[in-house]
This record gives sequence, structure tokens and C-alpha cells, in this order.
Amino acid sequence: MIQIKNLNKSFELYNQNNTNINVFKNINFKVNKGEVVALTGNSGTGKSTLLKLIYGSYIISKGDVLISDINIRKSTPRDILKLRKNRLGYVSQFLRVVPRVPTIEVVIEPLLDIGCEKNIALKKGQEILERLKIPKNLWNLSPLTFSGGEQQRVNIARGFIYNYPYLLLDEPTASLDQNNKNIVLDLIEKAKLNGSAIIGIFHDEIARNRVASREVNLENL
Amino acid sequence: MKQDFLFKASNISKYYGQNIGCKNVSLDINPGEVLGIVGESGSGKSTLLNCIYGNLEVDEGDIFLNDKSKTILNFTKISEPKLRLIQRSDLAFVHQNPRDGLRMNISAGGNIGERLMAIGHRNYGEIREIASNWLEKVEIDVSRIDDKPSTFSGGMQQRLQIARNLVTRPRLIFMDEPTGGLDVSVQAKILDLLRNLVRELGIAAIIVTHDLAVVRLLADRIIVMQNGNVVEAGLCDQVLDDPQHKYSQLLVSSVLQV
Amino acid sequence: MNEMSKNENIDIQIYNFAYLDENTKRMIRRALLKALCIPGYQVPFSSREMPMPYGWGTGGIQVTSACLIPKDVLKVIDQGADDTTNAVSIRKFFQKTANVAVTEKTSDASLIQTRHRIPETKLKEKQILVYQVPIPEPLRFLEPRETETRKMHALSEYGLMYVKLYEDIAKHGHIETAYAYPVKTNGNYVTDPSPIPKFDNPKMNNSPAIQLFGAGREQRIYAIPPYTNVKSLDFEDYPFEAMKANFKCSICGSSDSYLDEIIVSDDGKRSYICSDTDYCKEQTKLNSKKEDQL
Repeated sequence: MIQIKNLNKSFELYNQNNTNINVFKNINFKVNKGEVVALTGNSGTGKSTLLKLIYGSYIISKGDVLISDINIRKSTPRDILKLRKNRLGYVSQFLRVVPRVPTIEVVIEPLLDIGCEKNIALKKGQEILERLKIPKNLWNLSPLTFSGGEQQRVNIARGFIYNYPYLLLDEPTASLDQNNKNIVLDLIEKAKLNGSAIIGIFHDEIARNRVASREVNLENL
Repeated sequence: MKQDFLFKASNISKYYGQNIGCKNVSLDINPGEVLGIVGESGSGKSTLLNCIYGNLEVDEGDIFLNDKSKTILNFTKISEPKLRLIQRSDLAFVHQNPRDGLRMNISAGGNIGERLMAIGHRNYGEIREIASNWLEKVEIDVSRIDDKPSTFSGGMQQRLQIARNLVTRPRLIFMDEPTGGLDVSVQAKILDLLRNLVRELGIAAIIVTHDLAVVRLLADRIIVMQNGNVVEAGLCDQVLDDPQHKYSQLLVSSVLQV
Repeated sequence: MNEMSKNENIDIQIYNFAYLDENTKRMIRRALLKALCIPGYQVPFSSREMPMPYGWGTGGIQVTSACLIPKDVLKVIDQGADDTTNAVSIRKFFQKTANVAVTEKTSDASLIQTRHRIPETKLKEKQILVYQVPIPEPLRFLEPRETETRKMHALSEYGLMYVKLYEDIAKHGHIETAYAYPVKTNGNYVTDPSPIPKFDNPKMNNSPAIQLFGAGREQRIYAIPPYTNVKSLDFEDYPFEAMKANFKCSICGSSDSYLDEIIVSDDGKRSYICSDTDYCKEQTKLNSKKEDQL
């Protein structure tokens, strides 16, 4: 279970006249196993920020984020790294990779990090790339030259290759056409059935309605 | 003291007369981790690296290495021969300029084999085979084994330097701007090589760099230095995405977007 | 008459026995003792101005000078020969300044000064062999910094030495070094045996004689006491081989000694003769004795 308790986030920008930007205050909600919670609210209400706070990429100003029994605010960097390896997955909107690394290697990295044998990892990578309809002739090329939609699918492949018990998704279907959207939504549903607790941002209402168990609107809390 | 760390530096200070090289810097690293040290020129990061490697004498502080037999060694207290032996076998140092880390008038095979011969390898055939394997690992054509590094490109020289350092399977590798003088296209190859080696061999790495893009791709945790002091430390993506200190924020916001 | 004897007296009075003053000899002897206690270790010493320039054997001469006693029998060879210009000059130098007996017979000498060869005749206990050394540091051409080479010896960091041998095998298929072939002395220090052919290296091992090395320009002395283990560096799969030209001496017929190659006619005809002149003479004598017996 993921628990968000009285979460506040503000940014202090020292080099820009010490501007203080408050993103949100007092966010509270829970996400159970097998649930997909969709974050809603207009642009700028802090949806991506919330995901980053849970993932540990942003520092929590006030409040707590609990992932199972782990308190993110009280965790050391090492604890969070361990969490990210085995239990907490994150699919962001942007594909950040080392240049010139082939797609197949990018995708199997999470498996190699947890000690999976390379042959097995490669097999799983091929399976998921096939599933996401990335053409075979692209597997040995760097994804940085792909189209937006292809990059997004590579990102998804990397995020779903391992069954994370907790998953954060930032606009997973954003640049995709209808067919590919469905494939991704299938993957999300599968993860849901597997018991993963998922928080996602879905700009597309239809996609949201298909997979979300419930919605949390950041503007209304 | 907890026994499960690999390497730990506590309150390291180095002064150059009145000037501060680095002040009160502490860091620690475990196997399989990559720690980045970032800062601009003059931040003291290279001084710090040389201090913790044992090249420079520290004015204050202690440096601990948990050696293979699980004894904790204090660099500031062990004898020079012992330190040099550790530096040659258990640690590695990759210089920014490969010319500082290679023997330019010795063949590639000889460069890689030197550390082996220094620890007692006496079979020419074996040494050559190990050298060939390492050339393959760092993606240098094995047919170049007898060529001198002066005939290699900058990227190849750097990869050779890495191979030369890793042949004795060190547990901790120090790198000073490892992709510094290289073309951008070559940097990518080296970065990927480093990540794979860290993962495959389970080694730990401490990397000094001023290039935030490089550190983002390589490091798990980073420390930010300014004028010899550590101003911020934490998860790499957290420090780069949500810097809390004024200087860190300045550093991050100054990076050009491509 | 008086004038003449006065001059002779003056000659002898100007030079101390064996040229160097007693204090200098004391300094060199201290260095030699240290060197003998630490086989193969280069002991710095205060090299003196000698009446011949650097590069002409001043180190060997200073060591000989410090060791000579009036009843010594001195032999001086240069590349194995007693009759080359340098050997003759040095021998005359000590005759004049020390008035010692001299010989060309290896087995009769108590002290032998040599440039770049070890005599073929096996040495005995109580004989002293003084080598002339140009560059005492075996690592010098690989590592030009004296500060580094000293550390390398102190810490037994000899990887670089083996790298040189590795490079030879990689380039030539075998270890190319033909002279000044590095050795490990007493299982400890790597030593430069001076530019003797590698054929001579085995003679250094477990020798009954005292081996002393002097480098005048570089100001270093080192030594190998009797019966010391001296092993030439090599690889397990490329073991050391003492090599020489595969011919017989055209004077004495020996196939065991190190040979010099000489061009005997204008059209390039070659001949091989023993480098060690005394040995060649002895062999020739033995041959004629054998012939007489037949």
C-alpha cells in the first residue's frame, strides 16, 4: 500500500530573488494493492511533482509518503535506491538514456540490475518489445533517434519488464496512437491484476476510465 | 564502527597554506555503488579525490578501506609500501588525460600486463591472453595488442587506461573527469562501458566531474562541492532535479539544454 | 743519477698507493661493505675526479684502488682481452701507482678488473672481480626518474622490468636483450650485471669469487658476495638461454667460449675467435700438449 499523508511541497529558488513556489498542501490519500489511482487536476497542480516526491526525486517539504512500511522522508539515499531496484518502478514522460546504447540493452537494464542472468533478461526484453510492436530491426539501434511514440514505448518496456509491486506512471499513453495505447493499457491492467499498486497520470480521459480504479483530483483535496 | 562499508573518508581537510583545498569532507561508498563528486573548477573535487586515493597527504581526517580480509585499514596510518600495494591491486585511478595513466612507449598488451607482472605473473602466454580478453572487454580491436597507445585515438587511450586499471580486479575505482577530453560521441561509449563494468564486476566507483549530464547517467548518489566544502549531498536525480542549496541550484540551472 | 732517482722518488711521493688517498679509500670501502651486506643494492658513493674522463672505467678503477694491497696480483681485461688499449692503460696505471704484480693468467690473479666480460676460466674463492659499470640502474631506460626507480627497488615493484621482457617477446618472438641482461640477486634486488653478454650471466650465480661493481659517473657501487644466488629474469614459458655464436674458435678450436666475430679480408670473410684472450692461450697450450702426447 502507498500512503500519502498531509503532503506539502514548495520550492525555494535562491537565485531568483528567493522566490517561494508552493505546489500543493495537505495531500492525503491511499493506494491499495491491485488498485490504479489516476491523478487529475489542471496543468500545474503538481501531478508530476507528486510522482517525483513518491519516487524520491524531489525532497518532501512537509508530510509523509509511506510505501508499505518504508517512510520516504526518513529514508537514506541508499534505502531509496534499494527500493527503486526491487519494488518501485517509474515511467516518466521522457526517455533518459546513455547515447548510442541499443534499445534492447536499455530495456533489460532493470533486470540486470537485480541480478537477472543476461540470456534470460534478453529473452524477456525481446518479448516485451514484440508486445509493444517495436520492429525487430530497431532493437539494436539507440532509441534516441526514434519517433516520440516509439521512445515512449521503449520507456514503457523498460518500466514494465519487471513486475514492480509499486508503479508510478507519468502520461504513459501520451504520444501513442489508439492501437498502441490499447497495448499499453493492457499491460497496466495486467500489472493491476498482479497486485501492483499503481499511481498514474492520464491526460486521455478514455484511457483513464479504462484502467483507473478511482481518481484523485489534486485541486479538490 | 560499522563493518559493512567498503570505503569511507571522514572529515578530510587539506590546506595549501591559507587556502582551502578541501574542508571537512566526509563520504562513504559500498560495493556496486557509483558516487559522483561535482563542482566547478577550484571546487576542490580533484584535491579531494587525490587525498582519498592516498596521493596527497591530508591535513586532517581519516580514510578507511575495508580490505579483502575484512580488516579495516586507515590510509593515514599504514606504511607507504602497503599503501602502494593496495593502490596497485585493490584500487584503481583513471586520470583525465590518458597520457598520465598509461605508458605511451609500451604496447597496449604491455600496459595491461604490467599490473599482472607486478604482482608476480610469470607466464607470457597467460599474460597475453588476459590482456587480449580485456581489450575485447573495452572494445579495442585485439589485433592492436602490440601497438603503442601513441597510435590510438583519445577514446581508445581512455579505454585502454580503464582496462589497465581493472585487470587486477580492484574493488574501488577513482575517476577524474573520465570523459573530459573526449569527443561527445566517444564519451557515450565510455559511459556505457563504465556502467556495464560496474554492474558486471560489482566494483564501486567514485567519479569527479564538472559535467552534470555525465554524472546523471553514471552516479547513484552525488556530493556537490564549492570552494572546498560539501554544500549538498544525496540521490543523484534528487540533487539535480530538486537542489536545496543555493549553489546547487545555480549549478543545475546553468546547464545548457540541447 | 741523482736527478733521475729524485724524479722517481717524486713520482712515488706524489701519488698515494693505488692513486686514491686513504680517506677516499675508507669511504669507498664503507660503501663496499654496505654493498656486500645487501647484495644487488646500489650504494651511492662520492666518486672522485680521476685522471681519465667519465666513461673510461673510473668506477671500476676507484673500486680496484680501494681494494688493492701490495701483494695483490692484478689482471685487467677489456671485452675479454688483456691487450686492448684500455686494458693496457689501466694495468700500467696501477703498476705505476701501486707497483703491484700483474698477470694475464686468470688463475694467477687475485684481483681482476673487467670491462664487459666475465673470464671463461672459473674463478676461485678469494678472487675479486671488479666490473666497470656505465649505467647501474636496470630500470633506467624504462623509468627515467631516479625518485621513482629508488622507490621501485625499495618496494620490489619490478612489474616494469618484466614489461620490457614482455615487449621483447611480443616484438621479436624472443627476449631480445643480448647483453646487460637483468638479474635478480639473492632473490631480492633486480640488478644490472653491467654490459656483459647474457652468455656470461650464469657465471655470476653461486660464484666462489667476490663480485664488485663500480659506476663512476653515476656514483654507485654494488656487490655480490660469494655463493650468492643470481637468477636471470625470464618467463615460465620463455626461459632464459645463455647464447653465443654457433661456431668454434678458429685459433684454439673451443666451442664453449664466447666468440668475437672479426672480418679477416676485404671481401668480408669472417672468422670467430675467443673473446677471452687468456682462455684462448690456455686452450691452445692444452691442444699442443695433447698433440705432443699423441
